[in-house]
Amino acid sequence: MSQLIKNGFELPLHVSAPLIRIESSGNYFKKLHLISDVLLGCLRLYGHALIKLAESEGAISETLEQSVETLMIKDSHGLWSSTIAKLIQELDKQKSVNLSPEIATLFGVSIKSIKQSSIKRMTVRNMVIDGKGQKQHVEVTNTPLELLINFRNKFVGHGTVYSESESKKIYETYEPILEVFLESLNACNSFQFKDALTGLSLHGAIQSSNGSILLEYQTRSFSFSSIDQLIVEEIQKDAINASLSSIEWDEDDSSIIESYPYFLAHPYKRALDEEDSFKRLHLLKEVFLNYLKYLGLLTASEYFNSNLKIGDINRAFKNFLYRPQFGHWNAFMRSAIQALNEHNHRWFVQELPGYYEANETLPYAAHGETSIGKLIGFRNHYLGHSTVPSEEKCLTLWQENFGLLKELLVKLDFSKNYTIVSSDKTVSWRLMGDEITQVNLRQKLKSNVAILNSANEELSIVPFFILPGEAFTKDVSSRAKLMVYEQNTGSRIVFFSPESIHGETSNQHILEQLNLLIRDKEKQQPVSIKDLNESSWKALLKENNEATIQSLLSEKKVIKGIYQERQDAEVALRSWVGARAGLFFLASEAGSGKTNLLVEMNRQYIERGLDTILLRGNRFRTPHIWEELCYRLNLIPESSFEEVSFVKYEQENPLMILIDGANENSNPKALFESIIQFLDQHKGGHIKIVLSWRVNTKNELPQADEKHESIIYSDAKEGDREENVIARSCHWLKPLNKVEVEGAWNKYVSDKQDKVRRKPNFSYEELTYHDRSLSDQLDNPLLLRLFLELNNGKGLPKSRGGFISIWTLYHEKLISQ
Amino acid sequence: MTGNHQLLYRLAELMLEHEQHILPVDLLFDDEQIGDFVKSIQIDSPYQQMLLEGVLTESVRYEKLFVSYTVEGYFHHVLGEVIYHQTEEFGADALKQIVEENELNGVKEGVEQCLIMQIELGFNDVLFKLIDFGDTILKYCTKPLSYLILKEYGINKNLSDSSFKIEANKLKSVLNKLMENSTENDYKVLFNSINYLQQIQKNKCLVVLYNILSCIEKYESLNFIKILLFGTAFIDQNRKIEVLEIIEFEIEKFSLNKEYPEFIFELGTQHLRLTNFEKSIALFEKSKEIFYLYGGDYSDKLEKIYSNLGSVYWYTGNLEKMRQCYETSYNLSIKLYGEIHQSTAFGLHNLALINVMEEDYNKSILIFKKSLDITLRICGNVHPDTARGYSNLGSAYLRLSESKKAFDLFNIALTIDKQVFHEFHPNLGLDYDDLGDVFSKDGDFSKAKEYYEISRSIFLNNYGPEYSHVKLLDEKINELNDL
Repeated sequence: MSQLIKNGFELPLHVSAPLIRIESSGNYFKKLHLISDVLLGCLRLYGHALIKLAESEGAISETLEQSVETLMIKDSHGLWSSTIAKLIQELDKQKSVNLSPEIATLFGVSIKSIKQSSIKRMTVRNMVIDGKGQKQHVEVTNTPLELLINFRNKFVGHGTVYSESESKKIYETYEPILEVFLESLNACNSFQFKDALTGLSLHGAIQSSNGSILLEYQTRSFSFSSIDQLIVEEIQKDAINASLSSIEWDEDDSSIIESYPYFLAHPYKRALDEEDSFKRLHLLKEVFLNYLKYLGLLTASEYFNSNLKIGDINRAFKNFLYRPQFGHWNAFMRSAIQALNEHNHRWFVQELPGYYEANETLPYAAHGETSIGKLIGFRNHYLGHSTVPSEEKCLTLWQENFGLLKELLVKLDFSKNYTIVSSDKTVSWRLMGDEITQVNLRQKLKSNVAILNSANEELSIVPFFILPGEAFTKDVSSRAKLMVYEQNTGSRIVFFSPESIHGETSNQHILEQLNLLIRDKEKQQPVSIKDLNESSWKALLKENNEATIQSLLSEKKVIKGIYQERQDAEVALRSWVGARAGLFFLASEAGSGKTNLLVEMNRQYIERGLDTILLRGNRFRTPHIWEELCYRLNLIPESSFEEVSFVKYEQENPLMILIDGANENSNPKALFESIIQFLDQHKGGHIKIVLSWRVNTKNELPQADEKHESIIYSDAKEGDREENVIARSCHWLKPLNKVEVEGAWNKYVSDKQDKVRRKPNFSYEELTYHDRSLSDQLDNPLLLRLFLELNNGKGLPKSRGGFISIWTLYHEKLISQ
Repeated sequence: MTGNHQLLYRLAELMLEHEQHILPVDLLFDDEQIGDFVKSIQIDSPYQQMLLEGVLTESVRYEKLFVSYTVEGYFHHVLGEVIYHQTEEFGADALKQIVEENELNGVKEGVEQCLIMQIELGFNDVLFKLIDFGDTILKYCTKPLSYLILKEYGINKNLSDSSFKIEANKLKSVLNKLMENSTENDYKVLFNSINYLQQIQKNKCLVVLYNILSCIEKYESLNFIKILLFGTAFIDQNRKIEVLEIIEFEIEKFSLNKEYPEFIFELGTQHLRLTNFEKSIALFEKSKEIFYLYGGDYSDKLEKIYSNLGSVYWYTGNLEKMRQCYETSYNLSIKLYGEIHQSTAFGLHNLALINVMEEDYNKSILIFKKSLDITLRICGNVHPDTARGYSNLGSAYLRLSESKKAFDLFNIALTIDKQVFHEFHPNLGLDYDDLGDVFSKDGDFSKAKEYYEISRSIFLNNYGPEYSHVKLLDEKINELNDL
């Protein structure tokens, strides 16, 4: 460490300030975050300097401009690193005299125009848990900079509160790498930074920087500034060494710590006892997360232990709780509690729905904000990718947010009355309060982790809460007392303990338990279509269509309220309803608007009084149309539309089946063949399928045998010049015409409901005159949408003097974040 | 690479490796490069960011979690980058191998994107070599060749730039390179590329392309003839007849080819457009006879032939033949499409024209109404076809001197067309002409003249002074002036 500081004092303030904090802090968890700050300080200072250098030589290429623009708004270690490497390469290419070989070496970039010392590479040995829950050692060799960025992504970016011993181990692994990195940085002393206002050197004893900087390099000087990224506040010496004393408990604290569920009480106590202000904030976040999990997993357990089968909750579980972020817990509860109430669920934890309504639903309706929302905002803003706040800031944040959480917890005092217990083969435990205690249960538990109410009734909370001994290596089970669900991939479940022990398991027993719960809720006893009546049949169709549209909305494939009419295609799709042929093949390029068109036609068909089924090709469980229809509509495979008495499908009044993106099915060829066969069996036009298929050109379309020509509706208006029956019959969804582009453009820019902003500071017409190559590409609805998002709030894009694809622009934007 | 780039690139790389466009998330957890990104459920991790932005999508299937790119087009773009890097040193053979052996859904589009990247960098040879390989690979050369054509045409040229010379020279060199030691593969890809350019409505580029192609003599290839014939619309007006005559002569070499009668039909259609009625009748009849000779069900083709023949006879005033052709076409249409279909509505409209020619206007009104009902049902209230339906009906009433009814119907048509088209669209020209006729019939000549003038200016604006309808309107206006 002393070596670090020795180096540190030679280095500019932006690097030495966090180094000093590393030295002063006795908390290894904080030190890990401060390494990240050292790195960011260095990347920001040298990055800004290199941008200035490159600008002075006109070495900022068009693609680099995008990265630089992003960096100024929202920077990150990775983006700085890649941008700096590109800047150095560009300067090297231009044989710039301003290129420093030491800087190139520091950032691990090989250059040709000047001799440089060799780039050091180091090796880190890390332990990972593989899919089978086994420890594996992985060796990674790379430059110190890249290893430190990897370190940051692996250990600091995820917000995990490591124990002190774990933090120390990680720190000791990376400290030598940081030292080598700092040595390289020390060699870059040809870059001298000064305060642009005072002219004082930023190397040495200076304590703060106002963000305006002067770089002196060789005989030249460059000034730059950034209030957000380059300000360094004076470090309060007394604050550095000050360690907080633990917080004195009041009555409410004691009540929470002594009688609330263990996974709330334990981290709560850890937070109050923690003497480091920064780590205490992280523990506050842990308590909050466990609080959300308590509410969410309790709600999930209520549902899974009930006899109810509710599609909305099944979907919410899949959408939100497989990989739940903070906000997802809340979204799940909102949806599940409402659905359970609507189905008159008899709550085991009777107070739960009322509690949620009083603390979330009603305040949100009244004020548009809630304590839960504010705490999520606090976490996202301060404990994600930001730097370590000052001691003072940490204290302020604690005061602001701890009060909110405590109030929520105090109102949760009914949780005391629902005792969490566990039981293995021989011993039972009471998982309440900060200390787990052994108990003698009067009854044998049905599951080994459960909640008991005052009447000793039991609610199983497995597999969301499990005992560590059941599925984890000794390394985990010896340190953790209870594992709480965190995420699930279907093949592995990740758990996290109140003691901050992370564990993953592919234990078949536990996985199967969870999968069975889900399967059971989704499984309905299939029925024969004959046993349905008109209203139950229509309800089935409606539920399927709503689920399909919901999935399209959540993936942003369809945006509510935005649809640009496609006159030709709509006319064709309206026209064919009475035809004898059963298949309407809709083909086009990616992004042409097939999905939105099908959703619109689904609406129009329903409005016209036709029964419709809207399906997505990529969501089929098998490539067989009939199997999928039976699965979706819960019919026995022996069912037949012809035997239905409550509704009669005829050529002029057919059942419409709309399948979007059939080419995205795992086996599109087999799906297509099964559709042809299905329609061959149901000839006469009483069952009609609209099949949308993405291809670039017609010669990539699937082939159908000529004998099936009569079941394929021909919409070819341009003469028969195709060899394939599908190619010559299909409706090719044309690009948007100019009027449609303008219409869609106006719809997007004036949409106020969607959160994503799509409002450039120029019109479509202005763009057309400015850059025809860009405006020409906007005839694809998806590219139009992306283009508007890319240029939200911007003026006309700079011309790059040639054709540039919007995909390329989109890609550049995404990778420069 | 930034974290996002690393994540997106590696994901596409793994999809290529596993030949699956949707991967189990669990598989990614153990990946050395992106495992940590994927495991993280923090909102600001690259993986979560990509989910949040809708770039990636997670979905649950059989209780297992999978991830895929949300937007196929973007997946193909990233995949193209992966394929580009993986095949950079190995050229066309490596691309061919990927297309033939890799079963990833989207791999072909990835190869296309890779070829486009190479074209962007000025490396066109890989594309030409792939075209020479032929077979299944040809399909994936269409879009890159179209892209190359567009690039050389100068896609970014300003609207006001009307000079095609520079673009033509660049395009010429691409076509020369393509047709150097040409094979049928080259023409097939070029034909498909032209189709593609038509699909994406790059008509100005096609005009330049066809003006070059019409000067190239490669008539030994049926595919080359096909290219010229189906793109006649893009050939310079002065060269069109000459090119059609050459095609008619050269096509005889391929009279045993299955496509021959369709080529003849297309030739007839082109002549019909040029008002060469005799020629078009001969070609349609020839095409029809060959289809009958073939046997089998060619109803769809015959329906079109009879419809076109009927139109020729309408223009030439041959009532009997017109009736015969239109009735046959209508019956075929009913058989093919049923009662409620635009083709059927159009067939009815043609039948009504027979009554018009017979001056049985009451009967024509009944049929026009029936046709309009079908059009309303399938096209809705605001559609150009619906407007034409009202207009036809209006014309029939006008013939019966029921001016008020005609005026109302023409006004409905105009209102619809105003909603659908811009103010100088030819359909509006027809509407104003119709309304002018009503005023003329009612003796309000100044009003009639006003409407005719508006109509004339629209047609003049669209087609120039030589256009037949402009001349017709000139006559109408002159007649009014003489009164």
